[in-house]
Amino acid sequence: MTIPVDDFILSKSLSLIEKTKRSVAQIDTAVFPTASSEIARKLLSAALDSLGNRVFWEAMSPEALYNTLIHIQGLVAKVEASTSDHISWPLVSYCDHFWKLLLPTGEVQIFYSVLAEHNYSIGSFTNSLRLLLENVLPPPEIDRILGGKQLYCLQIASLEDENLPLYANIGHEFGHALYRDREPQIISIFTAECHDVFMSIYSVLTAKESGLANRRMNRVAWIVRSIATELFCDLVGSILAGPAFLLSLHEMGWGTDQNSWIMKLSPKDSRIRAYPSFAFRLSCVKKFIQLDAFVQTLRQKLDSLRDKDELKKIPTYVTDITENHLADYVSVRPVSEVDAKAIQEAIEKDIPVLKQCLEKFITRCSEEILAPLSSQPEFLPVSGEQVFELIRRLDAEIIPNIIPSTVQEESLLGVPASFATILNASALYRMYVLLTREKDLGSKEINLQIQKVDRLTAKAIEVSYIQREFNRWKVEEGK
Amino acid sequence: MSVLNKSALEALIRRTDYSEKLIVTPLLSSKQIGPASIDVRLGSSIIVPRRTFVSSHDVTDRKRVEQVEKRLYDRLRLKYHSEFVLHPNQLILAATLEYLSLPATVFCQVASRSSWGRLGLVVATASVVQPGFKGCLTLELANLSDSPITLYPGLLIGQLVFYDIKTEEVKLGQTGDLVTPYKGRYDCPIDAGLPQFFSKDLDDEMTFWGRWKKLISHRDIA
Repeated sequence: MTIPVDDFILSKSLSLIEKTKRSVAQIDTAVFPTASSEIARKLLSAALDSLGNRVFWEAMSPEALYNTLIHIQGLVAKVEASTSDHISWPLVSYCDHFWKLLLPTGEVQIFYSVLAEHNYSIGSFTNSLRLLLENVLPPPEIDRILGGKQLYCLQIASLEDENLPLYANIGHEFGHALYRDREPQIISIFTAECHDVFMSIYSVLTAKESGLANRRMNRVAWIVRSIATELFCDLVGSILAGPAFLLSLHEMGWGTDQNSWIMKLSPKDSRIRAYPSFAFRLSCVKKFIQLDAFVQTLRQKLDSLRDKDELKKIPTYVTDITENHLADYVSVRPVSEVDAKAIQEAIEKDIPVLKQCLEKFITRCSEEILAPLSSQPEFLPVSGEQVFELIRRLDAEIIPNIIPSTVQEESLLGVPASFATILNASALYRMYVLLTREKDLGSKEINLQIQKVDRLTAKAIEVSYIQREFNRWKVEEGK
Repeated sequence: MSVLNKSALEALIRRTDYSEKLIVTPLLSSKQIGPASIDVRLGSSIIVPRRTFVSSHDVTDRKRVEQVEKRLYDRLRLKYHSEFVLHPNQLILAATLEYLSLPATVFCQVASRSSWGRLGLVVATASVVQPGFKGCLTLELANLSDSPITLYPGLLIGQLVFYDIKTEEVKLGQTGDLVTPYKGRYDCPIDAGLPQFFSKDLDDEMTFWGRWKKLISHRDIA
């Protein structure tokens, strides 16, 4: 007897639809960190209802349905992991606020989930779902399910993962969504600023093997575009978190080659990924965070402290970050790729010009795309004076949540510090704790000290958010 | 030793030197400062003990206490505006929203607010906070009524009464130093904390008492 494989797979798939529907229905919506997780849950529920609809079975390939369902499990897992048990709701409340400032139309939404790795990642949940459904459902049905929505998922490290130093990277991740939202405008700047370097690279490729030059040039364009995207995202990270983003980026680069431009080729050009060197990224970020003014004020305030010589060194933690990118080189992978060597040589030859073009590109992005945001208080440069006050509080084992005020009522209740100010004070003080540890301290004691800074910061983020919301409510209600 | 009144509390809060300053933060309303107390709010960190198959809380058995912790307690982090229902005869541990920093010359006591008391909600049984303490307080909340009580993070739930330790009384030691600031077992906590019986010298004697109990039971079996 020949087993009717298609029937077998279809039955198994139909059973899997029901199992997945039950999983989605059992997700506890009460613990969603923000309301938008429910949008994701409803989208999955609607997609599963359609997949279970007999009307569509005729045209479906059972194998395709089965594959779709297997991959949908990953999306279900993202929604299941969207829980305030493992996600700091004050953090995502702040994030939601920034998101709405960056993408104010409301057409693009975001929900938050947990990432297993100690890192952050953003992706379009709706695009992922659309790609999966395209294999099994007709386009009008997919459009009906998704309803023109664009929903992103930001995956963050869990609360238990002690991920505070990475909070500053959230702006970078949001940059990816902003890039997508403003893509035509950004690409037009990119094309204009990179035209000369593209011409130069093309001439090198043509000189080497003219028959392959066009294909290779196309891949080079994707590489440079990917690099430009990362730099644009760094720009958004810098605007949201200031020097804390610099410190966070610096920390992410620990133990890695600071001068390597990594370019990963793919059979599908749109999947090519490339990253500029850490040294170049740090150099670009330094230019955009108005470091000089911040450091000068912070240094002046710290100098006024008595008996705190080590604390006075704090500004050097940011000024001394190495950003020497003269020794940068290009690494195209996989080396077995037929185009890898030629592309590597062509880009490497022009890397100084490429850097200049990319610097002009992000300068224009800053002026033309992000400048309108600079009037918002959330995007103002971080104040050295306020960061100083919060460092003083951390040094006294007090949560860094209140900035100085001379107003009588405010001196009693306190003015809540901004998210960026808290992050910066915490990042700098954390560096201070790491660098001034007594040499005979064991791992347990060092861990206790770092954990203390982290929990004081986490509490400050929580209560500053609540105080702002409460103050806003008092004003609205005329209290 | 005297109870600090409203103007004394406000003066302490307005100090700029963090070693002398009284910190209760965030203070969301100046009305939280009463004639002789400061009202505090329920925070988001809660520990719910659960019924399980562990025989009992035997605090003399250090290893066992650490091992069964996850089986005995659920740690929750409530979102603001989300409810928590405290059922009759249920006890929970909950952190205050406020972070405290007491000067070395001030200690405080935690008390229930009378309105909650009339509903049957008892707040805090371990009510003394030592001078120099820094951190969020862990309140023990128990519902002694016959009806469930719905709680929300942010609700004003308890009050702190502050006492000034007079300088003359503080300079007790032969060296004439001020009272030693709090260096206890809870180091700047922000979450509701479980009891930590073995982190202080005084508690170490519990192994002694527990050891005798175990020796007796072993002998009985033999």
